[in-house]
Formats: sequence, structure tokens, C-alpha cells
Amino acid sequence: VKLRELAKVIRTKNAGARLLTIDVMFDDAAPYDLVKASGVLSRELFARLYRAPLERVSVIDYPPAMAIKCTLPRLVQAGDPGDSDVYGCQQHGPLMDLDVPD
Amino acid sequence: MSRKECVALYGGRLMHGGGTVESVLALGLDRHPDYVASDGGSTDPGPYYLGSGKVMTHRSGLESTVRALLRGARSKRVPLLMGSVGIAGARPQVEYFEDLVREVAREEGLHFRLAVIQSEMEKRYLEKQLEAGRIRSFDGSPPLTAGDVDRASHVVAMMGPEPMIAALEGGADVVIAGRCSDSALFASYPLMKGFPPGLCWHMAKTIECNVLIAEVPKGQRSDIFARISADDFVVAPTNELARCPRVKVAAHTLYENPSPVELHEPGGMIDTRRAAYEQLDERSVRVTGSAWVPAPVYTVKLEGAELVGYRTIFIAGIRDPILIGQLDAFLERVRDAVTADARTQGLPPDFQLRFSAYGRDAVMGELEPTKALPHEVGLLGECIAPTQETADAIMNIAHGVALHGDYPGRMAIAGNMAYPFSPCDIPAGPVYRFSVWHLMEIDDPLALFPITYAEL
Repeated sequence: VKLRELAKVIRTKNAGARLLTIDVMFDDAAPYDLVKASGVLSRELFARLYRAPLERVSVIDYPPAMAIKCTLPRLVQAGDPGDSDVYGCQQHGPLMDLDVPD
Repeated sequence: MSRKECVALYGGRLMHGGGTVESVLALGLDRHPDYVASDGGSTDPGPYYLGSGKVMTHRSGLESTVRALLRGARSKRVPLLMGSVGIAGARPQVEYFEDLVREVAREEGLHFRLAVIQSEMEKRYLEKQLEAGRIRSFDGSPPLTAGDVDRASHVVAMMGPEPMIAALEGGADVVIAGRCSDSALFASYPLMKGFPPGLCWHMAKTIECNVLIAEVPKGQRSDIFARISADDFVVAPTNELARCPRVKVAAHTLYENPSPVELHEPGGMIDTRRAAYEQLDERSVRVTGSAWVPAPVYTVKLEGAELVGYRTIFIAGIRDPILIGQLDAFLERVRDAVTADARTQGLPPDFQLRFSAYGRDAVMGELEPTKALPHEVGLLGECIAPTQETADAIMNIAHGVALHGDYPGRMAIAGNMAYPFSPCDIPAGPVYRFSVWHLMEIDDPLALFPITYAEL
């Protein structure tokens, strides 16, 4: 099943000019637990999708918001020549179609 | 503590076009706030505003908000704080805001004590701090150099609550603050009144994006207010028709932050590990247990921007499947031809020429995993050069080469680019980049941010 069929919010945004932060949020415990248990949203996955060095990728489960959060360095600092997304808010597309084994 | 409770109101909109409806603000003023605050800043819109000193929000939107806030706060006789004004809090933006506040006050016949807090850093001071080894990298930024400081057009430091508390204690009715932490803006008043720092800061962080934590029905508008006590804080939308789900309040700690449990602020960190979120009714959420952990050394974040050059762009559509199938090779030849022509014309060689294929991979660039070819491409051509004149000249060559350049199998020999505009080249002005993105150790969180007062 695709991640977008399980999650309520899938978003990316700048956390300052140098970091991109990715939030996957759920509105029900069942899909949240399913995605967590699947281990799909791993540091390795984010490092690969966003070409970030693994040691600079953090992934945090945050149960109060039924969320999984990843923060990693941007390839290009926000607003630098060559940046394509000043707010960093359109880098989530490939995550939506991620397969989660059920 | 002088009182058992304190009510904070986020009022008005200073960003994203601005504009404030007085009847919406009145919903909040009816909650008997002890103070009203409004945040006008972010680095998200990029380095241009800090670099140029220009205000982001159009004057019409700002004026509407400043008018509503001044009238509202003065009618209730409560302090009004506006922070990170003009988006970046640079000196020209603070001055612009002060002028606007004075003008509106004059027109409305309002009289009050105004405090203006500057956050722009003197270059000589930064050089000294740099030499003393008190400026360090942040989020992986390269070490700061004296050259970075010298080239920056504006450098601001993000203030904590101390200067705003000082201004309030100095009798200010209205505070205009340069660059400040969003949370510090909202935390300053209850901190001054002696409420627990963990709750003040977490409350402030919760309301700093206003109604983002609420669900507001279509056609309705609302602000957010918070009631803080010695034991807890409660947040709710000011509009009775809006709701505030617990999960959204908890989720706000995620927003634009690297971590939801350790939120770094000037002088310390909000620790939300033990925070509990309780749904009181469908409109209000009670939060307890948040802690404030002071940093051993007080640091402020520095933000600075420098001029990179000047930009000229064109936008073109491509609907030719033969060209779309070999677009990168074609654009490479365009680039070579433009470079050769520029040399022939004696143009300076230090320009950047870039093409982005919208509809294919412009948004994610090299991170784009989808390889399917689209039937149509929006091509953005961009040149950044040391002068506008050069950028214009380069794009003038580029639009011609892109329009008429040959490629293998070409059938549509009349032109390659559907330019939507005449002229097709668009000068886009100066380009800045964040060149200072660092942490600076300081001894006195107050002395760095000069406050001036005026009786209006």
C-alpha cells in the first residue's frame, strides 16, 4: 500500500536555510503503527532519496502527534543560485508513492 | 508572581500579503488579553529581503494590519509587540516599520510610548567576535571568515526575550523589534511577569504561527489566544466556530524545526519530552510539563546575506516531442553557443547560465526519481552575472539561440520555444545568498540590541 493512503500529512519544509525537515503524520494509530513497524521510513531511505550523508540524517518518532520526522541537510542552501525550492515545500512527492508492506 | 493568569493574543497578519480584519481581531480582544503580539519574520522567503533591506509584505497589507493592531491594543490599553518586522528585521526594515507606525498613529490620533529595538550587527563588532573565536558554524555552515562579514550587506542577530522585556519594563506600549525568535516575542511578557519559563516558551512556540494549530471553518477567520498559569497553559482559537485538536497542538513542535522535543532558542532550549497535551473541549488544549533548559553559554543566531549578482530570466514552453526527447543535449549546445557568442561580443565571462525543465525535473533536480518524458516542458532560462547589463545581454543571446538552434531530426524549423511574453527576457534584479548562518556567543543578551524610545 502507498504511504499516501496511510498518512494524513506528508510534507517537507525548510528548517532554516540549510536543513530540510520531512514530516509524515497520521490521524489514526493503526496506520501509524503499521508504518513504524514496517521500518520503511528509515534513515537509510531518507539518505538515499535526498542524497544526504547518513550521519547527518535524523529520524524521530513523535507519538504525541502520531508523526515520524526526518531532518537532513539540503543539497543547496535555500535561495542560493541553483536552488529550485526556496521554501523547501515541494520535495515530498516521491515519498507519497512509497510502498509500505502490509 | 503578581497575577494568577496571563492571556496572550496572536493578532493580525504581517506576512503573506498582510491585511487584518478588525472584526476578526476584535474576537481576540474580547478575550481580555494582557498583551497582543504579531510575528512578521522568517528566513523561509529566502535571502533577498535581508540582503536588500526591502520589506517583503506590500505596504497596503502592512498598513491595514498595523492600523488594526494599534487601534485594538490601544483601545484595550495593553502592550503590542511586533517582531522580526519586514521579514528579516534588518535596520532599513525596522526603520520602515517605525515610519509606518508613526504615520498610522498620527492619522488615528493615537498617543503611546514606542520602543524600537535594533538587531543589526556592526561589522567591527562581528570581526572582534570572530577573532575571539566566539562565532561558530550552525547546521553545517562553513566557518565564518572576515571576508564574509565584510561582503555581507546586512547581518542581524536573533534576539531572545530580554530586550523586549526591557522595553516593556521601560514603559513601552508598542514594541517594534528587529530580528527576534518567534517564540521569544510571545514569551517575553509572561516571562517578565514571572510565569514558569518552560510553560512561557512552549506556549509561545505553540502560538507563533497563529491559527496553524486550529481548524477554522471555510469562510471564517480566527486568531489564537493562550492563557498561561503557574501550572499549565491553554490554547484556543478566538473564533467560537473554530476548533483546536490536541494532535495539531502537539504537531506544531514539528513545524520548521529539526526536533519536536528539543527546541533551541536564544539562551536555551525548550524540552517537550514530558509535555502532556489534554483536550479540554473541542476548542481548547491544555499543556503541562514543558521545561526550559538554559544554555551554559548564551548564543544568538546570526543571519547575513551578500550580493551574488543580477538575474535575468526567460520562460518558454516546449511542445515538440523530438526536442523534448533530447532536451539536455540541446541545452548543452545552447550553453556552448551562448558562451562563444558572449566571448565574441566581449562580454565578461563570469556569468552563470542555467536551464530548468519544468514538467520534467525542475522542482527536485538531481533528486527526481521519475524518468518518464513529459509531452510538454516549461523551460526556465536564468543568467546571473555581476551586472544587470551583462545578465540582460547574455539572456538576449540565449533566447535567440534557444529559439533557432538546430538539433538532430528537427522538423519544426520555424522556432523551438513558445515564449509567452514580449519581451521574453525579464530582468529580475539583484540576487543575494545567505552568507552568514552562524551561532555567536555573547555575554549580555540585552546590550547587543539597542532600544530607543519615543513618545507619540
